[in-house]
Amino acid sequence: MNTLLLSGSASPVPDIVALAASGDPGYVDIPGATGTGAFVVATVNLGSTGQITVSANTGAVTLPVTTPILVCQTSPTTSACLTPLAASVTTTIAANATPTFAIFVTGSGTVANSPGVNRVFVVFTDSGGAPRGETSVAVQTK
Amino acid sequence: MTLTAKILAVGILLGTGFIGRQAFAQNDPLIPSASPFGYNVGIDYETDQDGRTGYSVTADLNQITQYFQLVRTYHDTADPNATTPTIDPNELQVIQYAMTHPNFRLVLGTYNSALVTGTTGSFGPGLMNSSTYTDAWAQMLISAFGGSTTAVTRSVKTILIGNEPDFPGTFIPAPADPNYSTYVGTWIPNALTNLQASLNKAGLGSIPISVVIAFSPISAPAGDTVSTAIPQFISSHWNTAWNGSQPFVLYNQYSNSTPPNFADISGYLQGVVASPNVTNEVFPGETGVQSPGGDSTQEAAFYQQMFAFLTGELQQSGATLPAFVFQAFDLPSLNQTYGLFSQNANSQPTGLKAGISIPTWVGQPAPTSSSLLAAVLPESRSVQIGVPATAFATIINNSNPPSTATNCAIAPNTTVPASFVYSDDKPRDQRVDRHAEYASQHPAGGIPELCHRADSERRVHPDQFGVQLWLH
Repeated sequence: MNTLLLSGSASPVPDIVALAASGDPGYVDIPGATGTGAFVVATVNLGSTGQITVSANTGAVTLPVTTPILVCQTSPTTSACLTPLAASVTTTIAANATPTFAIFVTGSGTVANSPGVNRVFVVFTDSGGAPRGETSVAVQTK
Repeated sequence: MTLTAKILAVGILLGTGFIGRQAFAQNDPLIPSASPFGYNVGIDYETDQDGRTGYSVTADLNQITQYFQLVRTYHDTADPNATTPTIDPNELQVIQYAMTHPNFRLVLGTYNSALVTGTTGSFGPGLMNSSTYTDAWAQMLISAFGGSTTAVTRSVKTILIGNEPDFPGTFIPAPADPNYSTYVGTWIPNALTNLQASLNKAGLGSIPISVVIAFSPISAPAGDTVSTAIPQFISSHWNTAWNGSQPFVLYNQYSNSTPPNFADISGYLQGVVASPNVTNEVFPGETGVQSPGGDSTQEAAFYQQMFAFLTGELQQSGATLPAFVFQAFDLPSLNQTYGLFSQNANSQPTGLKAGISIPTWVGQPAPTSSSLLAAVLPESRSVQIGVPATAFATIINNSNPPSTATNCAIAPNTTVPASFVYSDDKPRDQRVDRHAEYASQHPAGGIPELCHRADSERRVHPDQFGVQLWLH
């Protein structure tokens, strides 16, 4: 991925630096055409405290996956979901806080292995809808 | 006020006018997204004597390499039926030539006995059905290259097991043969799997393994399943380290028209590419025309069409359909007059046959796909105006031939009121700690020249650099 999403504001804003991890590095693997694959995202807020909504999508590409892609906030120690699985999670992230999240991707068909195109993006937006963080992984049926 | 902008991690200008394959591959189905050969066009070379009394492998290769640097051969072992492989002495001469000619590239074929042994009525599993054999075969190859796996991988760009295993005959089972399904379902897959494992074990795992098919899903005779099933097996078992993860299979094809024309070949290959049963890249392993009675008029006309077609691709894309022409020399005892080169009574080469010309680009290295690779982390930053955001990028210049890429930088993809300060990065500490130096060299908005070139051994040197971005 060679695109950096840059946003700014006249006042201090959250700056969510996010890193995804999965069993197949760089990928979320969907077991079979209709299985569910998962990956996790670790974050750190290098900006100011703010309310952040976390959601996931496939960008500009339409993929055979069930939408919305479900997310939850997780325990950094146990990885258990702290919130119900939903299309988005809204939470206040304090400055320098390090919340973690899990993303569940369910297939509705076969997703080809094309890591430059077929991806799941996790986006972090503030209360005004401005992007304050993003990460992504490739997605494939495997 | 909120500003949002997409920043391309790497805006790259190539210093030598290099044009990558990838862009054109979208328009021309015959140009693959990757090729392992290093050259656009190669030539098939029969190393056996076949009536060429007095011939010399070295003299042949000296002639061939005036025009071609990519050569496909057919015979791996001295005795195609021996269960302990010993390098074919003529093949060994080719290998020794390769070791002393660093630009020379070899596509090495094996006898069909690697896939199936015996004859009609008594077929048995091929020699490579045994992993003991393939282990020994890999060591045989390394020994032929003087014990150097590096020398092997530098010269050998592909190993082709057998030739036309879908063309039934005395040594190849026909669909009606009682062993046919075993041949297709077990013996050939075992050979491919065993050789892959043995090459991996021997440190040669980067060399792709494939086959050469006589037919295809659009031309298969009744009952033939080899030409479809084996390419599919190859695709599903392809090593992701091979050819940019792109599986390929070679298809031999000749013109059926009178006079022969290359449109037959390009049309056929386009049909194979379009077949829903074909998931691999499609390369012609053999194509050519005979010159009966010594008259090379039709042969010359065919190659003129072929090279006009390929030159057109090259001019538009910087690459062509990877192709092998059949073949270097006439073979008197086989009544084959496909040779591109003439020879005297002592079977010594005397130049191209009358009327045949070979473009100079044929002997020049071809660029590969994915010549430049880039990534950036993190994918997003969000800052207060006037406060710098830091991101890190890595670039690999994978061009072949080595080509210097300049002006590699993070650059705005949309209008953004930002300035950039660059620093080369120490990967261990991930700090942008030389920005003052780079800022002086590259004023705000300027871009550094950080991209290295790949060297002749195809090693790649990642450039890592950091950038600080100020929104203002």
